[in-house]
Amino acid sequence: MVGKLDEAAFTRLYDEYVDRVYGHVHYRIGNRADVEDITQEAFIRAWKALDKYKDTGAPFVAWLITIADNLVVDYYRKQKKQEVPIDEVLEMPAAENLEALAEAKLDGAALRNAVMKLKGDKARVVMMHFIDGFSYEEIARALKKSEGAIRVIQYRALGDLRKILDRQ
Amino acid sequence: MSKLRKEDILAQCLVDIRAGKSTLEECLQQHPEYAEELKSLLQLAVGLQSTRPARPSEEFKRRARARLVETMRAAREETKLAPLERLGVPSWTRRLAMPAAAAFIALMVVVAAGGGTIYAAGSSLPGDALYPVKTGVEGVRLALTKDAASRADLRLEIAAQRVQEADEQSRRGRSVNVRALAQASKHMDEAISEAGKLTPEKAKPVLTHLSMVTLEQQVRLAKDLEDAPEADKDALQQALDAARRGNLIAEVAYGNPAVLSTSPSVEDEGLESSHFKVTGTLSSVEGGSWRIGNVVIKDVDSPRNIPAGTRIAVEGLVRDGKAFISRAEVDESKPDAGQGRDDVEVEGVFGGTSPDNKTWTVGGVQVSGPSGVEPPRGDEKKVIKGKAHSGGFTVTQKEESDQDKQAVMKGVLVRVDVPAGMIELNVAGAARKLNVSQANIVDEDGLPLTVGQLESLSGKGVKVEASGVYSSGNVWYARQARVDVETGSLKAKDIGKKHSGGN
Repeated sequence: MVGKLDEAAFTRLYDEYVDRVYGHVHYRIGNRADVEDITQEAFIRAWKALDKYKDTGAPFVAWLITIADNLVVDYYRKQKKQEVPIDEVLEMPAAENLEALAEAKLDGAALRNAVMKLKGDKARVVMMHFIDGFSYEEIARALKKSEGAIRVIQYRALGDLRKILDRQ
Repeated sequence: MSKLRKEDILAQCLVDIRAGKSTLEECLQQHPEYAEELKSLLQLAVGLQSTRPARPSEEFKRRARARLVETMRAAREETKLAPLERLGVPSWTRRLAMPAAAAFIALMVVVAAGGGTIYAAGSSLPGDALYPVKTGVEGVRLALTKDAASRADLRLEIAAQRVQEADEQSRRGRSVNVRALAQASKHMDEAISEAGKLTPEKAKPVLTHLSMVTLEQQVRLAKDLEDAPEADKDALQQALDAARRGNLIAEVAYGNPAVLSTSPSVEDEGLESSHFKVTGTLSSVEGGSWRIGNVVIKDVDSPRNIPAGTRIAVEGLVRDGKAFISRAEVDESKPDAGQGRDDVEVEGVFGGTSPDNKTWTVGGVQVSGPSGVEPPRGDEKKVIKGKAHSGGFTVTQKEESDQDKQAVMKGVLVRVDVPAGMIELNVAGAARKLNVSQANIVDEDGLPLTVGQLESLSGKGVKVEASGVYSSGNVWYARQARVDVETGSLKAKDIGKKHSGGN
């Protein structure tokens, strides 16, 4: 039976992963108060749904983020609005990459808004790799695809992003 | 060039840029044919890679944590108050007369327990709901453990856990989770790597731990393999092979921790092929090479200086061209009748011949002038035993390597309890008791031995290949045990005749 030991274990998982779940939700929403509510709720739902979890070999945090993502979808549905552009999401890029960004005529907010327009697996792969920090192997396991397929999706997603940014 | 090629290049460039191995410009320069197309995509990707997601405030983390703990506590209380609902007992059963309800509830409890849907995280198995909690906690513990020795020990505990889980899955008739079992090897390699960061004295307890864990794994996996369905055999065999290599690494590194600098891996299939034993007179020590009769051990790293002219028994591992001596004992025994003191005995896995067939590689060392038998062919993995004298080398025995045998235990025989049929070995610093009272004991030639005969070998290094092994408490029991003495040959006909009444 689930007991105190498991509660302690799950609390440690919370300590380990709360930053990553929060960062993911914040990238998608940006409103700090709502981000906090959704992050907190994601962990509570995960605890309640533990017996439904199926180990696919993907990191446990990928499952937590999936739960948080579903809450984000509900959030936008309740708000009756599309995911909106925001300017406050991103912190400054690392100094060594500012030059590349400047040359590409990019800013973090524009890039984030373009990412939010990606659909399906392209959106998932870009979010998981660049925002959530998963490796190709981990993404492949989470999405049940080969690593080669993930690299193909990433390549195409970046192509789509380029087109979206060029239109803006 | 296919589209996939560009996709792989882009992915590799991103990995290299993130690791600081390369800049965007350097990546483009390395792939000029795609530079134009890749440039804008890489700029985008680098921009995304630079994103630093927002972090929550400490105040929020505390608040959310408290709420989570409260939710879990409340759920536990609810479970205590309403166990029927938690077990999925339909509400209508609560209207049944008490005896009927009690019987139904009892049945549900049995089904729930037997079906194994809910386990505490600590005892959960791969595929269980709480298993990711268990592995997640392991990850957190590793992250919180900063000391290399403690981290190595923790890795070994986790490696032992993975094998215990496979063992438990086998016993329950479940399929072994290949991916989870493979993690045992990864953790052992990490532990070995951590041990390599320690001073020799601090590494030794870790190596003792590795030895104990890998012996335990061999016993469990060998037993599981006997009963496993065909689909599980490859995974179990690989894990068993890894356990044997882990034990070999522990044994060699315990004797010479310098070998850890070569990053030995339990997944290295060639490891056993580089393990040698040579007994003979050290005829010369020149330029770091040892010559023992017509056996040449190059670039020797030995913790012990031994003067030329000494009759020795050495054992070691060849790694990256260097021979790490793990055991070097001066052999005080008298030569057998009819054999000169220039006799050399060599044992190791056959690794090939020189183009002119005049030199063989056995256990990673060079043996010149083999005769009497054709070299093994193709992929045959044979252990060669042979004797060399007067410039010639005669192969006396070819046999399958240890990979095809059961648990292998090597160490110094410290005690023999004849009435109890028990032998005790010191294996890389740890005491191991093996009850052989019911075992069929044989010598290296397969001739029967008694426990009493083993008594005369106390204090000597021995290798016990045991099969049909099981453990109870801290004692192992074997149905079959083959005993080799590490220094000099063990022949049932030659030893311990006065003890022949034992066992």
